[in-house]
Order: sequence, then structure tokens, then C-alpha cells
Amino acid sequence: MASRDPLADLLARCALHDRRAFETLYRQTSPILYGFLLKLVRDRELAADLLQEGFVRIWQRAGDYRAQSGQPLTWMSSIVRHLAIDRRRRGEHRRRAELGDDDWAAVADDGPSPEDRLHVEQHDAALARCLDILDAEPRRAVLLAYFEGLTHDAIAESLNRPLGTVKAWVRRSLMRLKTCLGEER
Amino acid sequence: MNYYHLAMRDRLAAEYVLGTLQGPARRRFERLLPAHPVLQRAVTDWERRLNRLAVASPPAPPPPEVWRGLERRLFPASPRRSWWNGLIFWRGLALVSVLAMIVALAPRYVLPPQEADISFAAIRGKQREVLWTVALAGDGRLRVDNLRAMAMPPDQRCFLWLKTASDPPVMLGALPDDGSARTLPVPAGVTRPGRGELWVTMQPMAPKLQPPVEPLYQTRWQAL
Repeated sequence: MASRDPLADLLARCALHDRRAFETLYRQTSPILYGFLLKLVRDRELAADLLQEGFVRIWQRAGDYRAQSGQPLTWMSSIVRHLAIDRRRRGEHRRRAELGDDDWAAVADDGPSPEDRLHVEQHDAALARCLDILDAEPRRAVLLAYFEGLTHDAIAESLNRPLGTVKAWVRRSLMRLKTCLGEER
Repeated sequence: MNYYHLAMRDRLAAEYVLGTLQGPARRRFERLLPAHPVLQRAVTDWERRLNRLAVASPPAPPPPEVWRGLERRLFPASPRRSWWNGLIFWRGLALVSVLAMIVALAPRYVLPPQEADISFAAIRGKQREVLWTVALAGDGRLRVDNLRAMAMPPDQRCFLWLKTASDPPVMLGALPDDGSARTLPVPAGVTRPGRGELWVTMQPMAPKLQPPVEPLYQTRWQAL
């Protein structure tokens, strides 16, 4: 139980430019990260592109990984998520320029809702329980920010709520999640 | 640090990780981060909490091209016969070692000379970081990979040129700057693209670009 995460060992070996370790790391984690990226961007080609970019960074930054950065998979997820959000924001800037601001709210609405795309229950019961504690709209605000990379303004527009309300929802929901997840340990 | 500051720090870290900390506040937070271990700790705590959402996503097998692309970008010098089309990842390792043995034993029979003639170049930025890799395959196509998306001035593009000793540089094409890859045909009239230097310029997109007098970056080919 106290044993070191095997992924942490693989990352340590990647930092020493061990190519075999990188291949093993890729084999073990790429389906999880690809699944996550599919949820973030909903486009297979883009998800594949971001996965490749993500693993380039993981290889280059493996030496930066520390045990206190959380589980290796969490650390890796963070890298691919930032890439996805950067790409989405750049893409949406272009889309906004083409379509005009009126269409912007629709961008957040197409496709299944973040809740629908969550399969948390089967994978992380504690997290699912803590998400359940939140009210529906504040939860949706947090998930829109996390999965869609939406800003407060974009969430307010997407949910058709005042900006101040959305800011308060996000702030309170995060603190409730923290308390709840803290109690789960 | 009083409670107010503690709570504020935690809130900023949470919104930073969630992505809702925006604009000047985000930039200010990022500037503070390197020098404040306590803030860093708050950020990693929030990454640990929120990225549980990521790990809870249903997994999906990625397309094999992803691994092939990674091999090409990260380990461009690896011995490989079918370099251009790549190998299927799951069989890759075994095939590479078998091929390496065959290549060592009977190169003449296995590799047609033009296919063995793969040249590779890495174009580095001012901090020696690799910005692009360029590979010239035996079939005469150039594959350029932009390793990291770049912040470009508006209306400017980066262009790749081939510079041989005596002639003015010949334009090979526009380089991707969004972290993607592109295949460029070698222009007619260039008989030995794997010779000389590669130059990169940054200039506005125009129908007819004047050959540059000096490059922004330059590099030489390495034979594989």
C-alpha cells in the first residue's frame, strides 16, 4: 500500500531518457489520457494530436515530476488538459471572430452536457459522492470550467445567469468539494 | 499569514487550476508562483483534487499514428526501414531489432540505396530548444514537425529555405507554427535537397517572397 506508484518509477526512468520506460508508460496510460482528451475536445483527430503533444511534454518534463505533485496520472492529466484548453481557446477565438459573439453561447451548449459525459460513479465513488453534494447549476458551472475550459463570463453566458452568481457558485462549489474530498481520506 | 490570506491563497490556487482565474490576475499569480512554495503546494493540492475528474473518464485506445508520431519526433535517429509509413506500435520494437540485424548483415539486399538516404535536421531556437524537426525521406518529400505551438506576431509566418553554397536560398514552404506537422514537396529543380543548410525566416505571407539575405535560424542536415 505504501509502495511507490509504478508509474512514478517509469517517469523517473523517462527523466533519464530511458526510451523503453517511455514506451511502457505510453502503453499503460495513453488509453486513459486519450479517453480524457476525447471528453475534453470531442474530436478524435484533435484528441490524437493533443495526446501526441502531451506525451512529448511528458517526455521532456518527466524530470519535473515530484511525488508531491500528486499521482503520476494526475500530473500527466494536468499536462494534457492544459494543452486542450489552450487549443480550445485559440480555436474559439477564431470561431468567435467568424461567427460573432451571439453564437458564442451556443458553443458551450452543443453536444452532451458535462454531467452526461461523466462516468465518475464507476471510477471514483468518493468523487461522485462529493459532486452529488453540489447543487445542479453550480456543479454544471464547475464542470463547464473544468472540461470545457470556459471562463466565468462564458459560463454565465452559457447558463444565462449573472456573472456574480456564477463566480459565487464556482467559489463555493470548489470549497465544498475540498471539504468533502478531505473527509473521504 | 492570517486566515484571510490563507483562504485567499487557497481560492486563487483553486481557480487557477480550474482555469477560471483569468487575465491580469492569472498572470500575476503565475509570476508569484515560482518564488512561493506555499502557493505551489496549494496548486498541486488542487490539481490532485480536480484531476480526479480526468482519471474518472472512460479510457479509449488511441490511434496507432500517435505513437508513430512520437517516435518520429522524439527518437528521430532510431533505425527503421519503413521510416515514412512507420510501424505498428505493438510490433514496432521487435521489428526494429530484427531489421537492425538484417540491415547489419545484408544492407544491399534489404535497403534500396535511395530509401536508406534519409536526412534529418533539427531547427533550434535562441535557447537551443528544438522548434522544428525536418526529415527528408527517400521519396523526396519533406516532413516538418513543429514541436511546440509558437506565439507568432500577427500576419507573420515562418518559412523554410534551402541554402547551398553558391546559389540564393530556395523556398521549401511555410512552416507550421501551431504544433502540427506538414509534408512539403521538394521544389522542381532542387536535385540534392539533403545538401546545404536549412534556413528559417519570419516574414509576412506574400505571393512571391524574396529570398532572404540572412536567416532567423539555420541548421545543417544530419544523415541517418
